[in-house]
This record gives sequence, structure tokens and C-alpha cells, in this order.
Amino acid sequence: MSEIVDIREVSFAYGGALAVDKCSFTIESGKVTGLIGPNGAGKSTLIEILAGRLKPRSGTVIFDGTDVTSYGPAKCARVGIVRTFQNARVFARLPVIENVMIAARPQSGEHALEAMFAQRKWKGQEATLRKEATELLEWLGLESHTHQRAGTLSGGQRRLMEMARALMAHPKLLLLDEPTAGVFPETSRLIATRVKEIAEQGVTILLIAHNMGFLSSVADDVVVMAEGKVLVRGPLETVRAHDEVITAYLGATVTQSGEGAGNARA
Amino acid sequence: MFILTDLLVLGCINGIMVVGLNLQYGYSGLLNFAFYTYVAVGAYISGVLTLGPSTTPGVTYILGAHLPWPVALLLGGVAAAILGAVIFSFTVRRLRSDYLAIVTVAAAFIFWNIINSDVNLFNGANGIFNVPYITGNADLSTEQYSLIILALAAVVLAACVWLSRRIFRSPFGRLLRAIREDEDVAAAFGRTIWQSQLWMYIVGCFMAGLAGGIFVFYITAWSPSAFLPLESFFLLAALIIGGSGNYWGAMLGAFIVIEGLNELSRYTPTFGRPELAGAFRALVIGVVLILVLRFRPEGIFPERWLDWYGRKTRAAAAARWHPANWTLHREEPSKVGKP
Amino acid sequence: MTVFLHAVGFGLATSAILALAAVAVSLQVSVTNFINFAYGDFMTFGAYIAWQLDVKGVNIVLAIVIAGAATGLLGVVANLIVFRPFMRRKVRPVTLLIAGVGLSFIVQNLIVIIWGAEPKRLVQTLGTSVQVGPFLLTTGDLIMICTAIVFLVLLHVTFKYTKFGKSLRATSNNIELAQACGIDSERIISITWFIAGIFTAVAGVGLVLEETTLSPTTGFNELFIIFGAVILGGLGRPYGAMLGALIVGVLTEVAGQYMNAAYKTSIAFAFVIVLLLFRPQGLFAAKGKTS
Repeated sequence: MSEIVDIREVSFAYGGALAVDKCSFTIESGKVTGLIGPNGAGKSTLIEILAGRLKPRSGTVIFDGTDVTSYGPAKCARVGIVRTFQNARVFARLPVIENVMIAARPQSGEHALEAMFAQRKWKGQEATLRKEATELLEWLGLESHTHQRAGTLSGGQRRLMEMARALMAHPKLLLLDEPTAGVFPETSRLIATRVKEIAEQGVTILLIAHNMGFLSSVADDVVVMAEGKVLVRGPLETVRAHDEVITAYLGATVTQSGEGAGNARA
Repeated sequence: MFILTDLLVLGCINGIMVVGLNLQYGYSGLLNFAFYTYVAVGAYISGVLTLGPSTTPGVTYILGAHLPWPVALLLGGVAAAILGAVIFSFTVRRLRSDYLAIVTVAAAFIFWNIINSDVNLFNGANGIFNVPYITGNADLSTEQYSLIILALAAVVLAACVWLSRRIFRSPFGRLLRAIREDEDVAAAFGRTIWQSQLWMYIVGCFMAGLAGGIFVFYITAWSPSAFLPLESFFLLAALIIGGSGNYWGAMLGAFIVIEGLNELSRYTPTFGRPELAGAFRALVIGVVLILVLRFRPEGIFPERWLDWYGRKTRAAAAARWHPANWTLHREEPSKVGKP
Repeated sequence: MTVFLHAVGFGLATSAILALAAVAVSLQVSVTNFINFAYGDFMTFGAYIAWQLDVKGVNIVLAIVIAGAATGLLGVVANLIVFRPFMRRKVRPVTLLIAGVGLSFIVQNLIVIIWGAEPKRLVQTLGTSVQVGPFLLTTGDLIMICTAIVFLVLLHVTFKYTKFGKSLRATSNNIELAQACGIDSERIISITWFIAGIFTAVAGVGLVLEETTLSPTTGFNELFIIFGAVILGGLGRPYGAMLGALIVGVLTEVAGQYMNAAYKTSIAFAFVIVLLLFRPQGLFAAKGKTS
């Protein structure tokens, strides 16, 4: 399998504080890769860099053969990099289905002139998109909320909606920032199942998670970051037992109880 | 009778303006305190393009021509739209809301000052006059001409409302609403914000230019006293009070705030001081504006009344509360773990 | 050269007025985080009160004091009725701006209703010119400059050495943190409005002294130049505002000497536009405020 994402020596600093420090790793196409590490390790910053919201101080990001280091968020989305947000962000006053439909690209009805004068052109496309959005929402268990305003959804429902929206954009690389944070265990299991199904369709997924149970059920392998650098990489079980990883998470105290250690947020 | 026609004509003309402003502020969230400047551009251009070169000594202006009035009207709109595009690229793209407000007022003032002082542009403080009737040399009473202008204004207003409706119900309208809700997320899905806003700005300015053109055909004259920078504030107040984001609200605002108060102020007792009428009008607008912002910020006709998916959304909201739909964990999706 | 120096002298007088107004705006922005569009009309209000007292023969200094107090009160009342309810609900900054515009309509037209729209003149003239060094100034100018210096020094002392000043600086820096430390931010904000009102009134009177006529739009016409000074100095930085006022005041006067006088205000406005487009953070970056 080819490597679709190649992160080379990327560095980023907030003011004086180095958040990402010459970080390098690659992601294979079609795999689910977990990105874990203690708070402050630079995981979210790295996602923001990949998604184009932040520009690294140095280093390059190669996606599918193209250098996307300088791409802004809009351009990244157009080449197929789609993300969800750490606190699920929705268009609150728009109905759920419109939230999802908006992610699809390209939409001819979105050009001002065509919207005004070429209605026939986009009416058909609208119907197709609506159908696709409804199917996605059904697949994620949200069909009873289709016409509700997105602001009325609960946290877990918003995360599911975010996934539907991300999928609507037909991503090649899906960046999930803590997709199960603050979510009921059943919803978490649903998300895990869906993530695996998405990967099976060929989408590359990079996700940040803290819940080891969730990770072990979705991630093919895991990248551990600490202090802005890649510490170790490999399957979750191997990585979890790695001495350096345990130290990074817990300081000097070493415990072997898997769930507890994994769920500890520094 | 004439008073009624006059009211309606002015109401329609102002309606076109506020509907245009709605595209900029209501749909796209762009503050524009220089809106009346675009109206003035439309008025001047339409005026001089039908007046022809100056034949009266002491009256100077640029671009005199004897074009047929529909062409002049359209060109007025186009001129306003081009100016709008230029100003947009320089200012709106870069500035946050309060700085944008300052810049647009300053720009409006500078524009007004230059036109007022430079006689060569549009005849300075005296302005242009004797703009020909659009009906040519037909012998018409003021009343009859007003009715003709009313027809023109009503048609143009209807077209603008139709356009607004189209935009609202299109994916473009949805995109604008999404941008207003959360710009970052919209960008994260591949949208360039300013491009969408630019189009609405241009169309809004075009409508302003049309309104100005119709205005100048109606009163056959135009001068700096007709477009004090103050008027833009009144238009914005009218839009907010009527209902920002809703084209019916825009029309309501134009008719009630601009027109209605204008008329009302004619009948307020002035105790021998004529400036009191205008002062009362502005005072009332200020008070109502603050009250609306405080107690009904979406305006009299809020945008949500326009929801074309409104019926389904309201039904869904109602259904949520229906006892039949209550489950133990009401917030969670009803079908969990389904493959 | 004399012309230039005279222009600089006029500029100093203008700067004095601008400085008072700009500091008022900056102070208020630093604690409340939005720009009040009605400040010009507050200035006009203060000027009219002073004029009214002047007509009754009251001593000019006393008139200024009373006008200052009245405008301070106006500021406090405006905050209470108009702005605080909005700020409590955390509305978008645009809303506060537009509310300020509405307030501007109200104050300006109240002035027209109460006092009429024809321009007024101060009864007691202070226009006799005096040569001070290389500058040619009127008595009125001198009074303004001295008053401005006195007020600004007072402000500086208050800032640095009083408990109120410290609370003010804390509130302007981080309002939630200040509240958590037991500072009554509402009270601070009210007092700030009062002080800003006083400064604004004095600036308004200064305007009248300089322009010798007073009309309902006098203050509003100056509003954007004041904003220019405020932004040049960095939004929310009173000391920066003083410097900004100095620069803007002198520049506009000097430029006005060499260009068509009809365009003087336009030049100032153009300056503001250029400033906002190319250096919105001013000379010293504005304190980190979100839009």
C-alpha cells in the first residue's frame, strides 16, 4: 500500500513555545492510524497543520504526491483533506440535513450567478445531494433528527453529524479530532464500527483519541507523540507497553492496568 | 391622490434600496455605511446619461449623453456595481466589523465632499437638474408621470425581491447562511468566504444604483443634499427594524421606517421650527432601533419566517416534544449499533 | 516657515482637544471592548450645556465643570440603559456598534429639539491672539492646551497611584479575571463612562472655542478624526491615544494649510482609511482584543 501522507520534519511554535518539533511520519493509504499522546504533545496542532489552518514554521507535508504545506483550509478541503473539530462545530441554525449537504463539492448552485439565473441546473443536483445526505444520516443513526436545527443536537449526536458531514465531502484523508470525547459508550461503539467501514471503502483516517478501548477496536496502528515529536509507532498493544510511552503519560509511575492507564488524561 | 402615489413611489424606490442592502448585510453580514453613495452614483450616472452634454452656462458635469433611459438606468446600476467591487476588494476583505463601519462612513463622506466641492464632476453643490422625463416629450401631469414611475419602480422592486428569493432558496443561500454561522467550518469544507460575499455586495450595489436611477428620473434632479451620508444609517436602521435577512422585512422597513416616518414627520407640530420634523424622525428611528435590537433583534419579520424548510423543521421540533417520541435517553439516536 | 510653525501651533490646540476625546474613547474601549459611535454627540452635548451656561453669564471654567459632570452623567445613563443590557447578553459586536449609532441619532436630535439647529456662538469671546514662542495662539487655545495637560496628568496619576486606577487596568486587561479577584467591574465600567464623559465634554467645549460656532453636528463631524487618533495610538491604549491625537492634530492642520481648505476634513478621513487598511494595529499594537 502506498503512503498517502508524508510529514517531513514539520515544526510549529505558538509564540515562543514549540508545539511541534521536527515531527516526521507517514500514513499508509486506506489505513486507520491513531495519534495519541499526553496533553500538550502537539497532536491537535499537527491536525491543524494537516488541515491547513496553521502553517508550519519549517518542514513539508506531502499529500498524495502534492506539497500541501502552504495550502489554506479551503484548498486542503478541495484536495480531499477533511476534518472534524475537537468541540463538534455545527451550523447551529441550519437543519441537520443542510449541515450535511453543504459539505458536498462541487455544487453548481453555489455560484451567485448560477443560483440566480440557472435554477434548472442545480435543482437536479440538490435532489441527488439530499438523497445522499439522508442515506448518510440513516447510516449514522440520525435520521429522526434530519430536519431539526443542528443546534439542538446533543454532543454525541453532533459528533455523528460531523462524521456525516465529513463523509459527504468524499474525503481521501479524514482527520478526526477526538471523535468519541464526551460520548455515551453505545455511541462510541457505533462510531467505531462506522470508522472501520469508512476505512474499508478506501478512505485514509488519522484520528486523535484518548479512549484505549475505542482505539484498539479501530486503529491499525498508532503514532505516539510527546513534546512535539514522534516517540514511537506501532500496533497499539506493543506501543502501550513501551516504557517511554508510559513515562510520557504518567511520569515515573508505571501501572499495567490497560484501561486505566489509557484513559488517564494528563 | 397624488400624495398616495408619491408615497408608493418613494416606498418602492426605498424598498429596492433596502432589499439591496439586505443582500449585503442580511445575507452576508457585511456592514455598509456607504450604501447611499452607490445610490448617488446610480442617480448621477443615469441622470447625466440622459441629460446630454451641458448646454447651460455655469452648469458642468462629466459624461453627458443622450442615451435612452433604460440604457442609462442599467448603466447607472453597473457603475454602482463596479464601484462596489472596487471598494469591496480594498476594504471589506480585510477589515473587521467596527473598522469596516468607520472606513465606509469615512469613504461616504469623502465621496460626498468631493462631489460637493468639485464643480466639474457633477456640478458641485447645485447638482444636476432638468433630467428629462422617461416618457420623452409627452405632455403629462405630475400625477400621470408619477404613476408611470410607480409602475417602473414596482416592476424593478418585484424583480429584486424575486432575485432575493431565488438566492435564499439556493445552495448559494445556504452557503451564505453557513458562513454567517461559522466561517471557519465553512472554510474547512473548501469555501472561499470572500468570493461569495463579493457577489452579494456587487448585486446589492447594482440594486442601489437602479434605485438611484429611478429616483433621479422621478424627481428629475439630484444634488449632494439628496445623499447625505446620514441616509445610509437610516437604511440600515430600516432593514434591522423590518427584519434583517428577510426580503419582506426589508420592504416593510423601507415602507415603515423610511416612508412612514417621513410622512408622519410632516404632520408633527413644529412650533414654528421646521427642523423639528426631521429631528423627531431621526429621534424616533434611534429609539425604535435600540428597542428592536434589545427586544426583537431579528426584526419585525424575522428571517426564520422565510424558511422554506420551515414547515419540516417546525414539525420536527414539535415532534421532539410529543410524548410518543420520548425515550429514556432522549438525546441519543434511536437506532444505535445498527449495521 | 512662519506659516508652518503657526500651523503646528494650531495643530497643538487641535491635538489638545483630540487628545481629551481620544483618551476618553480609548478608556471606554479598553474596559468595554467596543467603539461607541455616539461620542461625537456626547461632545456636542457637553458643548451645548456649556454654551447654555455661558449665555446665562456663568464663568467659563465653572461652565466647563458643570458641562463635564452633565456629560459624565449622560455617559453613565447611556451605559445603563443602552449598552449594559446588550453586554450582559454577549451580543455580536456589530449590535453594540449599531446601538451606538441609534444612540447618536437620539442625542443629536434631542439637541436639535431642545436648542434648535441654528449655529450658536459663545458670548464670552476668547479669541484674542497671543504670541507664545514661535506659535500664534488664541487665549481659547491656550486654555484648552493647559486644561488638556492638567486633565491628562490627573488621569495618569489616577491610573498609576490610586486603587481605582489599578482596578481599571485590571478590568481592561481581563475582565473575568478581574471579577474573580473581587473587582466590581460594573462599577468600574460606570465610573469609566463618567470620566470619559467629562473628558468628552471638555473636548466639546474646546471644539467650540476653536471653531467659534456650535451646531448639532459639530461633535459628530470630529468623530472619525478622533477614531483615527485612537486607532493610530492603538485601540484601548489611552497613552497611545494621546500620542495619536498629537500626530493627527498637527498633521491635519499642517496639511490643511497647504491644501484646499474645503478638503481638510476629507484629508483627515482619508488618513483614517489608509491607517485602517494598512496598519490597523496603530503604532503600538492594540491590546489583544477579539473583534
